[in-house]
Amino acid sequence: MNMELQELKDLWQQQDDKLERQLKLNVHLLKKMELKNTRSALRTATIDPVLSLVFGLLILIPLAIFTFNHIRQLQYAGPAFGLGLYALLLMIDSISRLSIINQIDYDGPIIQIQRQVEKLSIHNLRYTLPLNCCWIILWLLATIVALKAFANFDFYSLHHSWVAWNLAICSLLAITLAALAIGLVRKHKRDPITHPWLNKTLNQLAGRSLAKARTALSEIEDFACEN
Amino acid sequence: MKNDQEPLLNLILENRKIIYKVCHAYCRNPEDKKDLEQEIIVQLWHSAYKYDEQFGLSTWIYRIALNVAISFLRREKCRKKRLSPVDQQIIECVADEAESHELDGDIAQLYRFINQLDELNRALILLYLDDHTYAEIAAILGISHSNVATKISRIKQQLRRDFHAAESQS
Repeated sequence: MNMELQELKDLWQQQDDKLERQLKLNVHLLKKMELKNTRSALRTATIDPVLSLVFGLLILIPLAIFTFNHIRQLQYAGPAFGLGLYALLLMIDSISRLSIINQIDYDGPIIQIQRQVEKLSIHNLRYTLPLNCCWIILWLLATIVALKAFANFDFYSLHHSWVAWNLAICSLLAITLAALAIGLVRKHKRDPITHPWLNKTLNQLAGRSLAKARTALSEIEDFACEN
Repeated sequence: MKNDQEPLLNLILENRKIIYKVCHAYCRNPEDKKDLEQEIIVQLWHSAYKYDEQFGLSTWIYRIALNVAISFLRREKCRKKRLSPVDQQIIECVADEAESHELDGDIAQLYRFINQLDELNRALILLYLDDHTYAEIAAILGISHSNVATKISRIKQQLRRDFHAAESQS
């Protein structure tokens, strides 16, 4: 094949004419498409932050009231304050995610949009994921507050050492999970685990996904740079 | 632009070659091509009410199609890394087979070379081959005019080398 670049353009134009004839056959298929019922990854991106925002709002006000009512009982006010702080961070995180998603208008310049897409995935991995991981500890605080609020039951009457043990076990579990994820990701570096969800979770816990997103963003920045 | 299905479908039909070429440059597997085509059409549908008539319609379609294709490709890359090497080989073979039936030798070869470029350079060369001016390419990509010129010159050199290598092999 001996081809110069102008010939490539000519070839491309020839293909254009040919496509005109070929694609006419597929018109009826396009018309049959039910656009309104099409599932799209692009539309589902807002569901999670909206749900998180609503969840944050719904729990923040009752928690603030609970904290105020038990301000002199630190054993209850403390956990409720912790949960309230989580709800507040969750709302801030959701608003930032929605703000980034809102800027992703696919009819904008490619570099700008792709930069936003990568920023969103970095944001998810840097803030949203750690915030979700907080539930390893938060479930205990939620149990303390919920039992007191709904059943007027004193969780601490169970045993102080039981609570301490649970906190220690939760922390140990978190560290073990992170170490396991890093170990498995390193072991399967060349031959990834075939289960998609497990593989994705391990990569996120080990920080590999964050590193990839950062690389993609730096590639975009390099492309946009004058050179 | 009216947000009715019929006028939009007509505009898509008039410019379906753009969608076809973008899908072909970003996907090799026929199933992926169908998925990408669908995602592009959905996004065109969602963005239709924002269409600014100061831009040409084909420029607007190109912007959306390329943005969707690049995001799609990044997502698919992650998914395919989770497949075993044997699965990937099967997909590649099916894609090659489908491509050789669908396209002529030279144009199939050109698509294969375009497929070897990264996502952003692929967008650049598609726009160049489709006879867009440097100013239009700069506006679609969001980079400077001189940057477009530099990158196109590099891609041209690379394509020339690739074609010569293919020629000497055959």
